[in-house]
Amino acid sequence: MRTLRAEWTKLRTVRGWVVALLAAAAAIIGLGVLPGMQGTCDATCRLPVGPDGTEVTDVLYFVHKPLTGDGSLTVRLDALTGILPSAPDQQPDPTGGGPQHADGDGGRPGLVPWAKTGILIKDGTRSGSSYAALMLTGTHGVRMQYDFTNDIAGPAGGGPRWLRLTRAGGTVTGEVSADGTTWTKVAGVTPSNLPATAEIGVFATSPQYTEAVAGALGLHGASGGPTSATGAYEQVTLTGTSASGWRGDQIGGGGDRAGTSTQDGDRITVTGSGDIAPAVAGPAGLGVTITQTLAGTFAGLILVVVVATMFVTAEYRRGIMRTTMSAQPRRGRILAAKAVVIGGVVFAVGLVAAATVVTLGQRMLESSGVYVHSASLAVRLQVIVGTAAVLAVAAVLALGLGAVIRRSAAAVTTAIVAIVLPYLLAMTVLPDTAAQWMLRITPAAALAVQQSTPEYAQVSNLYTPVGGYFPLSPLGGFLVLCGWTALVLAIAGVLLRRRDA
Amino acid sequence: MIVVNGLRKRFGRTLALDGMSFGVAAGQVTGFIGPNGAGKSTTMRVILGLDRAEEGTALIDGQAYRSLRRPLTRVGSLLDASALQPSRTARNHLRWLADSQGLPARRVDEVIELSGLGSAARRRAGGFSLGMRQRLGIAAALLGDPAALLLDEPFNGMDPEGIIWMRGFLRTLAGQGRAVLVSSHLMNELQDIADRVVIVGRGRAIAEAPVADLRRTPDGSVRSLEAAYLELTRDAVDYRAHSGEVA
Amino acid sequence: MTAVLRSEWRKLSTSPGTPWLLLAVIASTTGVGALAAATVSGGDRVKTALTGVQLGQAVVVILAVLLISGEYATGMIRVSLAATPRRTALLAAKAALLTSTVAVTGALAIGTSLLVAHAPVTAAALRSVLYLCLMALLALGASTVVRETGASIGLMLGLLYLPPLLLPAITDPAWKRHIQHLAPASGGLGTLAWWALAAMLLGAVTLSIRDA
Repeated sequence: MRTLRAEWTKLRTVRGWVVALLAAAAAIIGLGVLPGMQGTCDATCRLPVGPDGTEVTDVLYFVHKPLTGDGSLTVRLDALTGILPSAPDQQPDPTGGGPQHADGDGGRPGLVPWAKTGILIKDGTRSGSSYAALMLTGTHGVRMQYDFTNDIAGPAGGGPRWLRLTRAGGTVTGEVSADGTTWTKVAGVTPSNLPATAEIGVFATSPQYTEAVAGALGLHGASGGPTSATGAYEQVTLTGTSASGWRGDQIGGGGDRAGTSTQDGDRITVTGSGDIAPAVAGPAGLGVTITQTLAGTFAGLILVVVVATMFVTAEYRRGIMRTTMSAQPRRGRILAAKAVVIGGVVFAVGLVAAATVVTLGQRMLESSGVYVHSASLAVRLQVIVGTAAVLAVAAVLALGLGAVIRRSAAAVTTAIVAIVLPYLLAMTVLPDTAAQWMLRITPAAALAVQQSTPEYAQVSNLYTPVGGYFPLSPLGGFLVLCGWTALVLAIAGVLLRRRDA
Repeated sequence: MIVVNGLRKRFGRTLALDGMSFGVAAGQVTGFIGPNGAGKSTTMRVILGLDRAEEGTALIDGQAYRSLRRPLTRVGSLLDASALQPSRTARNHLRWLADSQGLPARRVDEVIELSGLGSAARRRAGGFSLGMRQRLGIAAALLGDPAALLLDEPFNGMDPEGIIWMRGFLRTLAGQGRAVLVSSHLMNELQDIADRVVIVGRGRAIAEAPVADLRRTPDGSVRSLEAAYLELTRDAVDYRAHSGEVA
Repeated sequence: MTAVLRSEWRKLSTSPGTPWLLLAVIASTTGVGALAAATVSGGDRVKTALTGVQLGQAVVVILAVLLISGEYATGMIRVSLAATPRRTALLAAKAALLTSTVAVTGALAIGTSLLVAHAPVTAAALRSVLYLCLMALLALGASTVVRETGASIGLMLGLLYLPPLLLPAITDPAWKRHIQHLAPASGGLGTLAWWALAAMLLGAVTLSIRDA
């Protein structure tokens, strides 16, 4: 306890260190709030939200009619075809910015993996309303999906097949058949909010085509463009109470990419572009995430690492370590006390800074028209506390390196290069698989605590570190950093006992 | 030889030098004594052109130190014996200094002999005791065979044998006609070897006189230099730490 | 001036850390370059082979920073300045020596990298050597101003590594371009030369007017 107080006094009485720690907080806040972001979004510029409050994409073409009460729709899907952008753009934006759109020439035939067409039952035609759908996808076979975030796999394979969606009360059941006589149930689901009269019909949609482009030096860019999917149906049979006549509507989005449909008796062809899925950030998304607003963490990290390293190397250089060790001969305790003090102080500083950016910074960005992806309170807390914890543990790691290496030049460089460089290389130079490995095994893995948007298997996106997606879970990544820190501290503890002061 | 005239300097709110004036003559050992924080080290740094005084001049034969072309051949100095790269050998430390003045390697070996470093010169200076570092510092000061020497607390960390050697050595240097300025806060070290002393307190010279004059009491008996010093600095003792003086 | 140069050369060559640092420049540059060349297929082979400069420059920065901050750490700077009162001459000698050392070491490192990656020697390789030299001068100047080893290295590595990490947070394309063009590591040799010149001038001025 006395050792702890002594170390605390040492830390707070060096003016340069106090200034550096405050500067770390200022850098995190300043770089989160200031960088002159201007957007074109006003207060109405928001993504639609699904029944559970998740931000969603709900853009598709829907040929429908109202169905009151129970009933079922059976169709024979003749073919699923699509159009892709003509050719990937060969000149990616080296800054890793938004996707580049291929020029709007005719495109080439093909399907993106999550192109979708099938039967949809939905609470009206408003974007974000509750639904259940049975669909065939580009490469992921038959899927039963509802309320955006839920996805159940059905049989794989393409070709002509029969689909049937049956509503009974609140339950919607999807079935498939190869011949129209033998049916296999895919799933029975309960959408959260289907009204007595819901819209039922066939739909088509196809998400943006994105492709990672590794430049010469591996600088990541994303290239892609809009795609479309077309479903050709015949023997469209609806049972139950409904109006007559199919109605085609574009749900969400639209503009020059609005879908189309044709009808001929019981044959319907529907073409659409977009997606019906949770919204994602990154190349396929828009706006910024709170992860991006915390880019200043790195500036803070460098300052914190310098202070933490010098907290121990300065004592060696000036010979204070001998005084310290004669005051507390149990050297392990000195290291522990230093770690607790620097870790605690940095945690407090980081907590204030990250909380400021996440709350205040977000409000400022929104008021200047930048769209910031919403995140739940739990995610915000994870990002704030996680950022503070990563800074604190990184400081302790730097302290340990300082105790092992004892020279500030080598120790500061090692600490920065170990934490910041893997992240930088992963973001810029390395090909994706190498980048993923970097963020699994190096201390930089801990930055996963800043991931603020979940990854969905049923949404095509470049789930790369550049887009704010980390290979490890927040806790897993943090534990990697803790593991490195524990290792370095253990080595430092042994060396401290063995070496002469 | 060395003339210090009206130096004034502050560090923040502390007045480190407040009209410091004195002279150092050739062929004499001049003791530079006073309590910690009195301005001894700051004065030496100003003479060596390391620190700038806000007012006043410090001249070596009428020239400012920073205008000297090969300064170590005019003034040798030892400020802080630990101011060296610990992983470099003593001999290499002297060699880079010799190179900077265009002096041959032969001179390095000469001062190694003179200072009594001997075979230790080929060891890493970082492993030296403070006494050995002081000898290395003396060697560095003598490198250019200068006519004037400034030594800041050269007795620190020396064993009795070393102290006796140093006293004799300083006398010899003065006997060769050099001007030697030695600072100390320990009087007894200087009373037998200094010809003159400059007593400083609170950033100025309180007294400047031959040692014999200072030791003579009004009633004709001889007191120790310490007693004379204590009487003169009774009002000037000032232990306020400030950045300018490192013991 | 030749005396100061010779003296600085003696300092550099008798510091046991120097050969290790120079070796580290070559090893880190070549090592990362070889790794990159092995994993990245296609693209510009020369550029891929030179990936190691990203890490090698960190070691060059250490070398440059220690050249002056090391003297401040021990207080030896006072001995140096007592021996060479013309302070700009001292800094100039350090700069000249540093540049030539880094040029030779950098050329070796980059040459080896290209050899390992079977890439031809092009103007890009020459530019990389020049890049390392200018980066060393920038570090020397910055460290003369900052004086403290740890802080100097933190500052330099921040200048090197931070701008590319901040880019994703910035949505405004104009700001993105500004940062890319003005950052010492990504703005091209011209920008870096301005940085180095400014740092050296600032270093010379502060060294001259401050108390040692």
